[in-house]
Amino acid sequence: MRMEKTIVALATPAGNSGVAVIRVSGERAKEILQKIIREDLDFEPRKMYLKKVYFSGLEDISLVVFFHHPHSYTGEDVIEIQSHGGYFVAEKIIDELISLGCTLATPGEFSKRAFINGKLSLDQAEGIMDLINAESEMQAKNGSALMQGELKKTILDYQNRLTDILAEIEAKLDYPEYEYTENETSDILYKLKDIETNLSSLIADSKTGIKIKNGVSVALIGAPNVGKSSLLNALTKSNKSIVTSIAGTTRDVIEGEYEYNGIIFRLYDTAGIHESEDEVEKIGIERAKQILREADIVLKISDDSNMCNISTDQTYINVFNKSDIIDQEKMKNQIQDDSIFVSAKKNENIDSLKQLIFDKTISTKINSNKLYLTNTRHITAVKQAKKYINNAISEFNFTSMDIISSEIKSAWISLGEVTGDTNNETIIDKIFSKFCLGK
Amino acid sequence: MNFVQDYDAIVIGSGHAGSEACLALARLGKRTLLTTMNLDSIAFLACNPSIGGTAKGQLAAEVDALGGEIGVNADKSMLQLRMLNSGKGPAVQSLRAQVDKVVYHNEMKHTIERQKNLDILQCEVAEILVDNGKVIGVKTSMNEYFSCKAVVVCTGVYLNSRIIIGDFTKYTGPNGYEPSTMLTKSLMDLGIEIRRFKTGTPARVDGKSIDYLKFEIQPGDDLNISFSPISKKVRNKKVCYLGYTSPAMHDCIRENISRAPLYSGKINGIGPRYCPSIEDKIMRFSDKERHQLFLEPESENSDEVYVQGISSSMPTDVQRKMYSLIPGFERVKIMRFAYAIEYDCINATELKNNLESKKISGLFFAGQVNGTSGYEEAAAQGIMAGINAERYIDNLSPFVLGRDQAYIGVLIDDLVTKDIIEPYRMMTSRAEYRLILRQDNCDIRLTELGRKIGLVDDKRYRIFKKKLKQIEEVNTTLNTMCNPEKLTPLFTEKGESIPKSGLTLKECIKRNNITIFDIASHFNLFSDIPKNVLDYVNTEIKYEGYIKKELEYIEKNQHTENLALPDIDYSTINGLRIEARQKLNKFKPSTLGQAKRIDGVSPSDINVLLVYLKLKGIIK
Repeated sequence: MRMEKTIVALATPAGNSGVAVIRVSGERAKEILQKIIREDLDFEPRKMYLKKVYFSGLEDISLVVFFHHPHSYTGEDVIEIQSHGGYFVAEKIIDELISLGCTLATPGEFSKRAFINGKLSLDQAEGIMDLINAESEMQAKNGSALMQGELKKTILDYQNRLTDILAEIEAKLDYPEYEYTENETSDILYKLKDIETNLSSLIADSKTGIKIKNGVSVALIGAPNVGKSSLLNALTKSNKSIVTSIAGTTRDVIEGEYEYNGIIFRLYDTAGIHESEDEVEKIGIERAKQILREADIVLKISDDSNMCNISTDQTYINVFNKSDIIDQEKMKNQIQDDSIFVSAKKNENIDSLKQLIFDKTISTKINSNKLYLTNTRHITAVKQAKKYINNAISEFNFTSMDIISSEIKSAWISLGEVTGDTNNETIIDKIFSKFCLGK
Repeated sequence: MNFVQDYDAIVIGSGHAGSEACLALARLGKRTLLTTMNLDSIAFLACNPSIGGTAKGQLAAEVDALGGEIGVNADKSMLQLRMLNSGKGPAVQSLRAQVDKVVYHNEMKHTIERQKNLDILQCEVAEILVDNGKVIGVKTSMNEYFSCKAVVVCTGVYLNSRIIIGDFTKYTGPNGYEPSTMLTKSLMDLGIEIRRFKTGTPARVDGKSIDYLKFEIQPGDDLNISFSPISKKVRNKKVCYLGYTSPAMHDCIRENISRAPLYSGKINGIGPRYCPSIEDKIMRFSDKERHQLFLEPESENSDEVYVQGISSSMPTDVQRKMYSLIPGFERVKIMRFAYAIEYDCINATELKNNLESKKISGLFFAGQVNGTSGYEEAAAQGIMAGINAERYIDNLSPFVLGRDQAYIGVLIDDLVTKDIIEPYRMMTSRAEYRLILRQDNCDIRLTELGRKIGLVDDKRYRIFKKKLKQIEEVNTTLNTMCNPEKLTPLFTEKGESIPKSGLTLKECIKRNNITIFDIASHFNLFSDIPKNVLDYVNTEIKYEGYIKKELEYIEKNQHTENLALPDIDYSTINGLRIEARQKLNKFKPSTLGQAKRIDGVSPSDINVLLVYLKLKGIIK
């Protein structure tokens, strides 16, 4: 199918980077490339050319490459311009391309075209979306596994197993002269329970998957001036929050993040939770309480003069800061499990703390070859499938095989929604509206 | 060529499809001619002496609800009626009737004879006459010519049919009836693809030679209903028997397997997997020690017994030996040998969903010639082809039933979208909305439609309206609130936990151990309401949640299912796989739902098609 419009967008993330990649897709891609480099060159497909690109009275030395359809990401004629990084240059080149006849791509339009031209399956397209958002190594791996259809294979396997069960049940429904024997029904029940177990672990693992994708949220709490901000800085090795010796300086929930074992940890440095008349501080305290409820893990930070005894329902670690100056012997009696001495200032024991946070939040052992469900739509579908199988198991008896079979079929359809094996156009709409610009 | 007469429509063949087609046409006021190779073969039950069965019971009752004849005719010739799968859930319960094969034929013949607007002629149609892509008449082998606007081809297994019994083969139809030898060529000349299918039937044996004590008796059910709501209640007159094959019989078949035409390569036609011959069963399921078989009476006035489950095409000497090895058949006398039969049929994907040829206007096909098997499948197509031929003549829009409306819809949709490679038999598992397409609601689903079409007469309609009123009455009564004290005795008796507050009677029925019949007897209700009405209400209440789920699913899919596709050149849609482009261009599906079900069109192809339609502004 020929798309009328030739589209353009930045393919690399906006912002400061060494190189920016601008992608153009559509019938007029080649012609537009010739115009912007002011040269009637017959490009050899997939070959890099070092060319001057002209825009708004300026020029930039760029690498350009042409992909002939259908051998391109979108399946259409595609050009890519690798310009110098920085938002300004890329933006101006895109402006120029638009004046030469391109249209700015809508979110997800490149992937949509790739999908339409048979270059990507539905879940591959979603995998790419995850990959674009990938910040950490683990996240990138999960995104790329999805791209290769690993997810589809796993789910297809469950679908096939359900197909087998359905066939067994259906045969007896359509041939009334055959009754279900005790053995056969217990075998079916056993198989259903087995699939249910598999789906359950897929769902349980998805929590890890979501952590891989979105990062682990870590809340830092403790009395003012126990060194929360310094600890945050030690963990992130940057100077994000303002560190002073005046208690109550950190009024906002300030975010920092670090990567450990391939996982992103997001830190929420809360204002000290205490009674305050200061209006601004009050708001900060409210937010801190909210973070406390929602974080994956809470670091309760104390020092020798201020014990943190704020209670939380979340997983937590007692962190004793200022290990360089406090008397550890004296504090021993107050130490429970899950406690650690660190010195944010001297950078002591910070790696052990990171390891402890990791161990406590990533419960299942991360297998870098394993696939984690991270997409909300996929997780919902698998949960739904599990629910139907649960129904089938709880209703299981000889007299309502028609209902059981219908529950199993519903489970089958739910799983199909992961692989795109049921055709619901609203799903497609949703997915494409979620695509980030340029891919 | 001798011109004889002009008709509106001509139906070729008087089997189960042809009978329904000609009756529908004539009842809708079309001057109709029914041609048959042999008047004695009208509605001949060439295989089982039975109507109905899983999914087939629904098909027959649906035809009946539309105003067809199969249900009424089964009632007239009824020997025994059973509700199959009564222990497996309401969605898969089906009626099955043993019928008297002689009476069945006689009754249908007489009904057709008495029908206004309908002539019958014994003759062989040799050619379908077409002008400018439109049917204009038929020519018989005796060179007579009848003009007409529409033709319905219902030739069953009679096109170039050949029976096979071991080394013996003969070009003949079932029961020694003549095969039709000229029509295939005429169809081929019209550009219609011909394929060859195979089916088979077991031996008929002398009931006097059977030791019935070695079989288990299978009586009819005491249902107190009939197949058709317009018939009088039927009573069970005969019983069937259940028996088993023996290891000795299996050995006998294995020893002689090289003489089985299926294995020696004598049979080229494609046979059905779901209805295998006994030699097939034994070779393919070698670990099974024995297979079930049923003895069914052929007629009240005959000793002939049909041996269901033992169809075969073995040579006669092997047949004699193997049948005698069935426990209880030690002294059995075979009266008619089992045989396999090969016949020409068409590829039904060349038909539109009104069963009309895509190539020739006014040319309709119904029944086994479309590659199906079974009387009920044939009757269903017959009535639909008849109705649609009338609508074609009168220039009305086609009458098509959806997969969510009737098994008839599932059947025809499957036929015109799936490249079937073996005779097609209806099964409940082919239907997506099984809980809605039940045996107990066929009339509720379709009578109103049949009335609109014009086939439901006043008597049937009156009976239907009365039933609706009874259902309404029952439902009103069931909405009555009942306080816990009143319910306690019943709930205690049934082992249900006593409700703390009041319940409506309807809510009581939702409990696992309480049915509408418990409520009826406990509170002395519904004494004047027929059992089948109560059954229906009971199912609707007990399965309300599931039924609702299916209805929601139907609604969700309604949009894509019924989305009309314009004439698209699929070869220009780049995202489609090559196979999908070819298949879609070949089938030219009329709706997106149909496109979805075409073999070789994958879900991702449909997604591509959806996006394409969206980009083209065909859908929003």
